[in-house]
Formats: sequence, C-alpha cells, structure tokens
Amino acid sequence: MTQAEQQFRAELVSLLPRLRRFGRAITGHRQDADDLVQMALERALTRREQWGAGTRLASWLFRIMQNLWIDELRARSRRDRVFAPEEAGEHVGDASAERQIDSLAVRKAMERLNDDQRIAVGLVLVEGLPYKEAAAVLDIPIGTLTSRLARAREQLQLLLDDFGRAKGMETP
Amino acid sequence: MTFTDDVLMAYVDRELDAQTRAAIDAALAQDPGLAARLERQRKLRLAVHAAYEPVLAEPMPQRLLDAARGAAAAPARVARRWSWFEWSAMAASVVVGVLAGGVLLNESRRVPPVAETTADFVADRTGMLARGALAHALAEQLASTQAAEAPVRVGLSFVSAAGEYCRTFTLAQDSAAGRLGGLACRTGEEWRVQVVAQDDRRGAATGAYRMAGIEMPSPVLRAVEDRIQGAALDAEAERAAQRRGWVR
Repeated sequence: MTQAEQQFRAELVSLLPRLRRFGRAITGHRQDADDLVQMALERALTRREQWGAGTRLASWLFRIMQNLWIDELRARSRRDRVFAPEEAGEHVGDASAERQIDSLAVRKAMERLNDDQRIAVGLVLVEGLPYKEAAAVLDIPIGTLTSRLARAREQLQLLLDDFGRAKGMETP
Repeated sequence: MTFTDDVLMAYVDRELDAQTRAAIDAALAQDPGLAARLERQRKLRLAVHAAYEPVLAEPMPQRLLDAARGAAAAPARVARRWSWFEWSAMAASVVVGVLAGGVLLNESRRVPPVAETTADFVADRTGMLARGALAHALAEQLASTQAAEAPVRVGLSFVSAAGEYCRTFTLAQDSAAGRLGGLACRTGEEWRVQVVAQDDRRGAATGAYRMAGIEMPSPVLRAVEDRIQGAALDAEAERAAQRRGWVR
C-alpha cells in the first residue's frame, strides 16, 4: 500500500463518527445508517481517483452517502417493502432525560420531512456544512438549498410545536 | 426594517454578509419581536444538532473500521442484509402489527400489563416464557394457513445462530392499546420470549411510518437480525419444523 493510500484510509477512519451521524440523520435508523456508511466507504476506496482535490473528503463521502440512500429509497418504494424507523424506545448517549425527550421529538419530526429536506438539514444543521459546500454536495444551486432548508425548518418547527402541545411540554 | 425568516435562518447559520448581520444586531435592541423570532431559529438549530450529537460518542462497530481500512471481510454483506426483509416478507406473506415508535420491553424490564392480563407470558428467573394462547400458537400455528383474525399471529420462523427455532408473533389486544409484537425461541420444552415491543397507535394513525409489506416494531426486527442464521423458513420448511415439534 502506498503512503497516500494509507493516509486516505486513516482519514476515512477519523471521519467515521461524522459519517454515522449524517447517516442517522438522513435514514433515521441505526442499522440503515451503518450499512450506508459501509457501502459508502467501499465505494470511496474503489473510486478514490474520483475524489476531486478541491473537495473536502467529508463532503465527498456525504455526497456518496446521499446518492446511495436516494437509490436505496427508490429501490425500496419499487419493491414496496419494509421501512424500519428508529424505535422510540432507543436513546443514544447518556444525555439527561429531558434532553433525550427533546432529541427524540426532533428525530421523529425529521422522519416526517421529505428526503430532500432531510438531507439538506443533515448537511447544514447536523453536520454544519456551509451553504456553498452543502449545495456542491447535492449539486444544486445555493438558492435551491436555502429554500429546502427554510421549508424544512418551518415543518420541523410546526411538528415540534405539535409534539410539545401533545405532551404539554416546552419545545425549541 | 423587517427581516424575512430566510434572512434570520441565514443569520443563525452564520451565512449572512457582515452588513446585513450588523443591521440585524442593531435592530435586535429595539425589536423584541425580532429577538423572539431569532431565538426560535437559534433554538431549532441547536435542538436539531443536539439530537444527533450523541451518535459521535457511540461505540464504533468493527465492521465499519474494517471497511474504512479496506479490510472488510465481505463487501456483499450489506446488500444481502438489505434484501433480507424483502425475501422474508414474501415468505411469510403476513402483515404483523403496525410499526411506529415501539416501546421496547425485554426480559430485563417489567412484563407489560397487557401480558399479565392475558397470561401469555410468565417470568422465571432467567426471563419470560410463553404460556397459554401464545405458547399454543407458537407450537402449532403456521404462517401460511393461520386465520387473519387469529388472536396470535405468527410471522417469520427461522433458525437462530444458537441452533434454535425462533418465531416472531403479534398479539391482538383491545384497540386502544395497539398490538404487541415479539420474538420467541424454542429452548428445550419452552418458548423463551426474547423481546416484546408495543407499537404506538397514535403514531400509526398519522400514517407516518406505515408502509406496505411486513410491519413489526423495529426492536423485534433488530432482535431477529441479531439472531437469524441464513434465511427465514419458507412455508414447507415451517411445516416440517412444526411436525418435528420444533426440535432440530
């Protein structure tokens, strides 16, 4: 293995936690997210020469992941098959109970967004990409990205307000 | 001066040019309404970010480390897992439960009240055992021939990595409570209940998670995934196993 290859793999390893987080945000499901990460890694390793020097490695991986996920969703709807959302009983990490409930509400609300909106939120709000980079990942104009983000946020806010009213608790 | 939500959004995303940003900062002091709108945007951004932050601290699965290092044992594994539900859904051709935010109740926690009233489970020192109608259905009922309105419906049957027969099931309950789904494996003379999860009727009513095909609370699907060896039994294999009394 060349030194460049070793370096590339080491960078992939260091990106793993973020790739899983992005996967969780766009799939809403742990197994799907990890499967998605695994497939993206395999693709990245076999197509390393396609990684443009001007692109951050994380952004390139996000791009691969979102392409794979859109393909998978299309295949799923064609096959008319099971879609398993993250179970409500599952809590990640050890945040306080209140935080967990808020987080659960957010994740449930995210599942209600359409795929384009959820991916845009995943890139910008979850992963913190600048608009320009997120738009490049999705290969769309910045204006399209920001309008997806705006609609997604309105939707999220409405859903969280609803959840809040239903549970009688304060929401973001 | 008024600012649109899009501008406020860009403000909290730190995407505004310095001039607009300064204009908002100046207006904030005089405009409590603007401050409240901005605070709402900021809170939403923080809440979304915080909801996924804990994923970073989760233990990393070895298979992902292997994949990142180009040392994955079987690259095809992912595709196989993704097609598994499809195949078994066809094999079972049964709709079990309605999945939504399921509440996981496994043997380490309390037995759900509904199970106590129907006496479908008993707990012993080591976990939960099937009794009554549930035990009977697990032993006798075939997914291919059971009645649609049966009180217990059997879903998938498969052989676990431990070499036992395991079967998923759902229990009808009064409509307010939704359905219970679970997984039981044959150990000796007993059907040992591995996991029971209840669906969330309110979530189901919105149709948010409801998709066509086989539907089971996801904790049950995960329990199946953790245990299954090979593919689920088809109708013929299920019948054969039932005739042998689920002994391999």
